[in-house]
Amino acid sequence: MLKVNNKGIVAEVAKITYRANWKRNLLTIFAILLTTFLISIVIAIGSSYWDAISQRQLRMEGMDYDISLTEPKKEQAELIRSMENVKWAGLSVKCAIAEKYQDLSLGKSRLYWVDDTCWNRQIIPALETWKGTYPQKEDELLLSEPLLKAMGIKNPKLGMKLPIGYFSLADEGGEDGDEEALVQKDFTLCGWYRDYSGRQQGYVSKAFFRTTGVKQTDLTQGSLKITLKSPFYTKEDIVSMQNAVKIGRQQIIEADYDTISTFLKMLVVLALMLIMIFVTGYLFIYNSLYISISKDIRYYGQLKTVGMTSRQLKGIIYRQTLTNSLIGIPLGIISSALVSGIIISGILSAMDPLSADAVSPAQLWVYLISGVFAFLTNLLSSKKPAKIAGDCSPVEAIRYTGVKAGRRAKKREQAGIGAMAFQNMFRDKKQAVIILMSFTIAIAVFLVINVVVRANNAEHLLNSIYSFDIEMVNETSIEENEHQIFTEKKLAQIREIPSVKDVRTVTAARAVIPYDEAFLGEYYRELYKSRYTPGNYEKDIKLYKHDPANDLFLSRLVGIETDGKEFELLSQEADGLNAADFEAGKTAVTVRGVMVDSDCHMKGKTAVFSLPQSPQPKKQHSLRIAAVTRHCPAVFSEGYTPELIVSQTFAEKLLGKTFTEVVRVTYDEAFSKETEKQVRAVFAGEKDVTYNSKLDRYDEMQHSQNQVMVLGGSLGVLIALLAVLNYLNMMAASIQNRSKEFAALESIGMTSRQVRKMLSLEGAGYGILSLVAAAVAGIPASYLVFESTNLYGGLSWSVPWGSNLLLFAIVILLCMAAPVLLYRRTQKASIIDRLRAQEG
Amino acid sequence: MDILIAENLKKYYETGQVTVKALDGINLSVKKGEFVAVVGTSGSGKSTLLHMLGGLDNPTSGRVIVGGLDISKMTKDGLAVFRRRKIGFVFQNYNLLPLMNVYENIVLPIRLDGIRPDKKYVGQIVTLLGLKEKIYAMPNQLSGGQQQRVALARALAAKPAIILADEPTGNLDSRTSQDVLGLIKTLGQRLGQTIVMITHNEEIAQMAQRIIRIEDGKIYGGGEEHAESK
Repeated sequence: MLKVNNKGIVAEVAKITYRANWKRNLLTIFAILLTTFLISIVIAIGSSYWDAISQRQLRMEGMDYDISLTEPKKEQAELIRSMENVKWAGLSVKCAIAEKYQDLSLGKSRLYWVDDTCWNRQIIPALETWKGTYPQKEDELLLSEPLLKAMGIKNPKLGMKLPIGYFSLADEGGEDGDEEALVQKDFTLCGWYRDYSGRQQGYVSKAFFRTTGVKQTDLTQGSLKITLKSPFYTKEDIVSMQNAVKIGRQQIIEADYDTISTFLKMLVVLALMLIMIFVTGYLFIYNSLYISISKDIRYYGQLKTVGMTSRQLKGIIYRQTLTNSLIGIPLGIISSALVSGIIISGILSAMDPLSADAVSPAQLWVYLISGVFAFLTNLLSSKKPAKIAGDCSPVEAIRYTGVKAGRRAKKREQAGIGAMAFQNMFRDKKQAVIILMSFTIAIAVFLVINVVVRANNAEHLLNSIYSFDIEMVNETSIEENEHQIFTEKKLAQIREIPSVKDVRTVTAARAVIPYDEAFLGEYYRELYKSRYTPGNYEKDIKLYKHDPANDLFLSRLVGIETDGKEFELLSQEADGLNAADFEAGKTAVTVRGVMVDSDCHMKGKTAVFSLPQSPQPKKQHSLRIAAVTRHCPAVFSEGYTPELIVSQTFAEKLLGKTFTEVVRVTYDEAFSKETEKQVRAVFAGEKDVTYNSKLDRYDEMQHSQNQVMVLGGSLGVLIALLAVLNYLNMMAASIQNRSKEFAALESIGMTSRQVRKMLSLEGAGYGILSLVAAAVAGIPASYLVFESTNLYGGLSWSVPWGSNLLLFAIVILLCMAAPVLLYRRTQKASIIDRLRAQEG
Repeated sequence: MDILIAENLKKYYETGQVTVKALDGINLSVKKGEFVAVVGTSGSGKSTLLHMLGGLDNPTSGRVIVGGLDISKMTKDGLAVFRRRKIGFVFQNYNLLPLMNVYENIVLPIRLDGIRPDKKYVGQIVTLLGLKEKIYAMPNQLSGGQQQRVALARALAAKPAIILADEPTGNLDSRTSQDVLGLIKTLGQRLGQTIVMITHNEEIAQMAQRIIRIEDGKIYGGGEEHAESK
């Protein structure tokens, strides 16, 4: 058979068809453009956002490593460094505590020595900024900004002298070391840094470290920070590492065995999110082509009647697909690059010049994937009508209406506008499902992203960590010179500040609890079995029984307000706490601390104690233990015996006058600079008060907060845009397609106002249904996504109702307004012209 | 009494440099209760005339007066209200709404006017048109003749002043055409309805009381005369 040269005519028909359908093609190009644009930009912004919150998380932790070996011996460290799967291992030793700067209390700030690997590879990556060099000379110090602030140094200068009172951790007293060991030394500031850990700490030189006498193998002081080549490890990996280094009795390798499962969970969730975004993009293109499917089938049927083969039909479709893709995809990619590279970066650098590079330009593969995806979706969707036309005879194709014959009779007697709108929504069930599905998915993705973005907002993050705005500690507690600073007068002054919402206090006094096998037996056995064991069990317990007031075994009687936040927090942790009994002094809560792993059956037991600082120091009191908690609301502890938490009323009854150790203040408006200034002013000049402020932490995080906010906000807006544009595109195509019907309705007397009302009701219907479905699917999904991507463990899931409701309102308004506007813009021709345009 | 008057009605279309005169100075009047057929060849302007009379299209110049009202001055929505109250359209391709059943299609213009349909009257029309059995059927379950009868019922349901029928039998076979025309004429007489029907078929036109002939946008006969009733 001779080959017929009909390429020319096929190309010509394709060209004519393309031009004739220019409006529809414009919508398709728009759909392709948007799909390419949104997929590539969502991936680009999404990964930049992820980088920003991961970076912030790293800075909040203050160091970049995977696992750590406590109290490492030299040979253990060497062995670990030589291991196949270890990238590097840096040594960090806590060697001294800075207690005083001039006469200012520093709240026991830790001083570390770290080796070059630790500093260069593990600490520097976790710093936002740093200036100077790591200490080389014996008197050099590199300090964190919070510590400089505690010293009252606002404008630090390299080389400035810092007279500091410190004690070495080699002393018996450990971190709670006594005053006699305090050494005065003039240090020189050789640098400072900012991370988001909020820790008051510093780094010292190797020479200084040597002078302290602390060894890297000292309990809780030395630690080998290990960065693995692959951050995914199993418990077996750690056990084999432990065996290889012949781990000592008190040593442990601190590791998180959930790393792999956490990562996999996160991966699955991120993949699902990505799939949802792809599905929305797919439906976007598919919809705009599907809406005019009947017309296309009829047209292809006509072409077949005049002798066009299926192959030639395909040729026409390929040309159309290619043309639309060649226009839509590059435009989408260019817009994506422009928006991420110029607009979002511009906003970021306008807010903070340091953040300009926060948006990493989308990598080539992102553009490639989104472009190929848009092309394939377009091709598949375009081929569908040709396939249907090819599957039936040309005449059947010409008559194709898409409406299945034998639509069942409906015994209804409605013809009102509302009923018409409802019928229109589901006139083509498949189409209605697609419209609702794509809209629903896009809104659900928005709801999910919104939850993640809000949860990772610095304010929300800090509100989850802090139960107060500022905490003030009396640093003279448990010291020789212990004296009341938080007097009633001062507290009243704070309470009088109008923008202060709540002031809560924690009192504390020394308590002596004689050894009692029933109450403390199990606790002490567990403690001495743990890696924190204070020494020889038999010897120490003998000493305890003989001298309960020995420093090693002292306890504290901690008083809190029963009607305040402190009790509320305590109740959350301590089960079965009755407020009335607690207030009346019938019960107490005991603190087991973090050194033992269980409650040691202390609940229900009776604690007998005396209070040496009370008017009757020898008198013994007894209390039933109602609950056991891990965390103590007070800051300082004395010996190893668990503290007793009681009501302040009861503490006052026993002690006469109580000593306030901690004051925690909450403001009407969190992060209020003005209120903070007023609160701090109350203790201005007071040397022995240290502050722990949420606002300070927020200020430290400001730089990354800008990034997180702009990137997260952009992500939310883009996803919302995806939902909205998807709907607009579909409505535009739908209205274009129903042109004849509108004309028929108008011809029998429907006013354009009534048409508009019908359309806006239809839109509202789609909007409401999509929102309900999106809320039902999106809110639980947001919980799952939040749980799997929660980098900071303490964060709590909550729904940002404000922005969600705003989106809901916008969606409803848009759903109602868009079809009306589209109708107005597209149905301008006379009724007759519109009736005729659709015929044939 | 003239219920419908067209005065010097013109409709010109500009296509490139050529002006197409679809209607070129039409004058006609129709009495209440009259059955008029407008006859002309394809492209003569008869459909355009019908659209002007029903307020579906705007004339380039001239006036259309229906029941004493000059519709040329009405707004778009005003015209829509006018159509649903005063005009009943019957189109060649029926223009039924596919999502509504027969009853809903019939009462739609009444409901759009915010009025409860007169069920007795609608029932009467439905019975006369033989649609009683099909009252809840969907349009795509009906034959062409049945669909055109539904369109006719819809046109009559609002008790309009005039029924304008545009080639009402154009899509029907000859037997069904006879049925539908018979119904139009009978119902027109029984309900005292004014009917203006467009056709290119002489035989069908002969059923009307008066025949208006139109060619090249101008009336060549019957415009303002009254033919003998058949």
